[in-house]
Amino acid sequence: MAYYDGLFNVLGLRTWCDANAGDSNLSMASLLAKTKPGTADDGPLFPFPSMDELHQACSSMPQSRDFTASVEAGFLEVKDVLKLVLDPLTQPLSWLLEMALTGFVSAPWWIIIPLLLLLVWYVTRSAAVTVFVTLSFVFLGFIDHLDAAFQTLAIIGVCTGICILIGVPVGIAMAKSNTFQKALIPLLDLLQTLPTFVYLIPLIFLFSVTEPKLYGIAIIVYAIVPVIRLTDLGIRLVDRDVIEAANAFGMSPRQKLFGVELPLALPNIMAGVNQTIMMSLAMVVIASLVSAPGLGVLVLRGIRNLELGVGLIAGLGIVLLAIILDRVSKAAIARVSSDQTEA
Amino acid sequence: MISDPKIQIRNLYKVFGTDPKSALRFVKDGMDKDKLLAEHGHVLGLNDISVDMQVGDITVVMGLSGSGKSTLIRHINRLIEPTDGKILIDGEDALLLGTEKLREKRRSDMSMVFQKFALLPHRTVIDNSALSLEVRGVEREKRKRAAARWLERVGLGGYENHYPYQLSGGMQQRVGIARALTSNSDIMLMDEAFSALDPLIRSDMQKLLLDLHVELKKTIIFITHDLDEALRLANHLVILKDGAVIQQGEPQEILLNPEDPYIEAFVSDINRARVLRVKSIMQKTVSQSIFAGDIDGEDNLESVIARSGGETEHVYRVTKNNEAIGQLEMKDVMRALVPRAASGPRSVA
Amino acid sequence: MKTITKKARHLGLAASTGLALSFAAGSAQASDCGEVSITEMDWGSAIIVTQVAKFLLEQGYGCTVQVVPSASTPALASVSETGEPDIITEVWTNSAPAYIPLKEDGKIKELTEVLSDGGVEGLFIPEYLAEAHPELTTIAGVLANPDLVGNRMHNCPVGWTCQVVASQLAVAGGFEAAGVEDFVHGSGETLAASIGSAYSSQEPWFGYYWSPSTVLGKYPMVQVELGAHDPSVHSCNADKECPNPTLQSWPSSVVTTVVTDTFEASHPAETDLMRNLSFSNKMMNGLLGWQDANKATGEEAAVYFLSSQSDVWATWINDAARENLAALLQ
Repeated sequence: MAYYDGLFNVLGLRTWCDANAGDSNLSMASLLAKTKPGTADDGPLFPFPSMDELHQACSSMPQSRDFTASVEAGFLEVKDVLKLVLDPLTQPLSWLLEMALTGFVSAPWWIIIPLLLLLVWYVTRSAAVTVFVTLSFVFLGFIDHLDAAFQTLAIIGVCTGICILIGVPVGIAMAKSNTFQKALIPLLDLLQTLPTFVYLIPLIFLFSVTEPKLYGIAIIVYAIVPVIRLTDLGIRLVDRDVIEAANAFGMSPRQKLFGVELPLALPNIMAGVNQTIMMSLAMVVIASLVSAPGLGVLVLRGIRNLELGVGLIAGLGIVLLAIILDRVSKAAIARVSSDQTEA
Repeated sequence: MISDPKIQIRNLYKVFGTDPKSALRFVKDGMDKDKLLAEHGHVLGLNDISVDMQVGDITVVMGLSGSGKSTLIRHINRLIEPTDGKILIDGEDALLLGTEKLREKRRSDMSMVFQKFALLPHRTVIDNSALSLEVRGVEREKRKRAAARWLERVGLGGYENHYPYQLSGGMQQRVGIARALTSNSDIMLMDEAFSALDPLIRSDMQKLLLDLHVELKKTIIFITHDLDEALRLANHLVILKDGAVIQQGEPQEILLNPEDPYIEAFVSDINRARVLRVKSIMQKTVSQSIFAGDIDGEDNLESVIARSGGETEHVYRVTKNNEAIGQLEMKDVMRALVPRAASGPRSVA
Repeated sequence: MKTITKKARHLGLAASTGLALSFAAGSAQASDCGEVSITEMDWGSAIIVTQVAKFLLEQGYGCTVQVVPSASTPALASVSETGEPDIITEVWTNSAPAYIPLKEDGKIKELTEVLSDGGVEGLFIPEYLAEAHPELTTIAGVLANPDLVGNRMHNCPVGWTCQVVASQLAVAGGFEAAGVEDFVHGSGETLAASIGSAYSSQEPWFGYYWSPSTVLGKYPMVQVELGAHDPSVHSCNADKECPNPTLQSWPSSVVTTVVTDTFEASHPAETDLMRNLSFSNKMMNGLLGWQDANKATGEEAAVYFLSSQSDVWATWINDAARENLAALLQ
């Protein structure tokens, strides 16, 4: 006697319901009832009318598992169309990742490390940061983690670059349109909280799991959100009086954007870039779960083999990279800001 | 009138809210600001404003906060769009201009100076000054030279490569003025340009403005809430209250003949002896032949009283460029020192 | 009206159950079983094993069973350091390198092979591929036609023992030179998803998997002949430093049930049950097949087994338990 029997009887659906009687599997509750007749637990006093609960009263009602199965079936239906659209769109990402990885791994260390150090110096003009970066690379090289570190660096570099390339224009568009902002914010929330594997596994059905773009997408989807949000914020926060002056002197929207808004929003945008870099690094291990090379692979190996040391050291390597990139981008922000405010 | 006014504002209305057009109907039927806000949730910004601004004049729009003066000045370059009415600049209706044409007009015919300076913090003083030329596409060297000239003129020679944050308030506003001057526009809009400066600097800036005005003869629209400033600068004074024009005209006229108790209260604290000028209260005909002395039309009453040494029977001859233009009795000077009660609205000057 | 009656009935039952249980506690069992913790791994056969064990322990032996979702490596680590959980189910010893040292230390007691035929590990191709190209059912055929299998061997993730073995086999068989890339997956999920993806588009696939498993239950695969198994060379294959591996098939994987030494001492009757609890591959595959055909959960598959194959599990339990479960054994 299921709780909601009466409901279906009253609605006159008894015959339709019983048409599929005996179709469903025996549940644990029924088995327990059989085992100890008379001592069975009737369950909660007033069960919620969920799909499974209603199914107990009426076998023709679909169960919750039918709902999830239909979502899966739906996805498989549209899969081929999605593939046709998404595959070529994301192919450049694969190429870039492959190029970056080959570049970083095949070039000898005595070319790459000096080049990176020069870049750090040019961006930060800070002796402290440059020395720190040098020591970090020396340490990583000494413990044979240099190749893995470079692979991770290559992946982060490409993904962050794309995040900025896409994220800043989207942020600008959001800043210019309240409707667009309202529409996009829930999407951004979704991107940051949706468990990665939930959309990655279906993506494997679209592209081959051996494509670098799979982990590229995983990283970009998660890490792009801060730079979008902070570009939007940065532009909205530009002093209204300055914007008014720009309008009063007849600046066109393009002149305003490049001459006033972007330069003044730059500190906030750089903060967004800094956060994007940090979040990309946070995704390194998950990226390795979908075949990304680098320090993440070492972490996973350590976890799976219970080689605690391996996992810890590789993890610390990721932290070291994070600190390097954080210091470098913060120094760059400071240089940009100092032009605009009291020294 | 030899020529048409440079700027003609005709029956300008501005209502703020979600449906200004329908709220406007109530206003035109006579609803006042408070009632409109309470019953319809709309704010009445400007109520049937009609002002003529002559070419080469400094027109000062004065009022307390909420009077609509900042709203009014922003209608001239359409930073705010009106709900109803016309604005004619050089005879053509500014409200009919398309986006591109409006931008053109803003670039070449109008410039603005702001209360909080509104300089671009990431650009040097000279780049800020050259802004309107940059917007017009003038090439770099040429515009820097023009900007340097004007920076020199406002007294900032040598500060070209400084950044705004390195300058004091007064100096930053000079950059703002240089920026407006570099644009070479006929019309200069100044929104409480000196209100954020301390009194001594303010006085210097007012003097600078008057000197530039004599030199350049631009049409200047100046917003302020300070009566002293208004009286010092204005050729034509417009007084606003709650979005409507209470009185407008020659400043001395308004002082002598306030039309509204509001204005009476406004001017009551003025040092009339210092502000009122001989030419405003003199008799325009010379009917006597014996005078205690010659005084200039631009002299203020204070100097005349000092000159007379306390004698109340003296009569002075008023001259301009050594030509007699009228006479002034000390009796009239005494009478002018006492504020007259409001005599009711008169026709628009 | 119905609610009130039900509520009264509920209270009445609770009272009578309490009385009955206190009687039972006093009479049948000499000692109260108490709380028992048992792992539940997240693949198909493991869920069934745990649910069957849980039912028998609770209804037959009066234990309060706490099910701990887990995976082999952390479970073994936990046992070695904390002595919890009490029972670890379905340890695939080929894939758990921590197992041997723990067994040798005596911290864990190997009770039985819960999958009595052992697990099957190997290299597989989809059934549709085997039907279209029968030559691909031997490794020689695969290496001769690398394009037909997609030029790739899908290897298990780094950290699984099977990855070392499969990579060594690739070296021994010269896969790389023949045009078959050794692609190490990042996780078991992507390995499984790659099979699903290939199946949904009927694309080529070639790589490692094991049976019994939900994936192989859902997507029929055919094993590729690698050559007879020689145990003496397998240890070289399982060592990634070993320079000369041999191309051959995997040994049958021993899948065991394990209990802690303290549990064995304190719960002899329950340990006996876990010792007896075991499924042949035929039985387990049958259950997994039934589960997929009926879109059932693992719990429902366990229920199906318990209600339809009582002759099998009746031999696992002791007399006291048989009394408690009399209602089901008719």
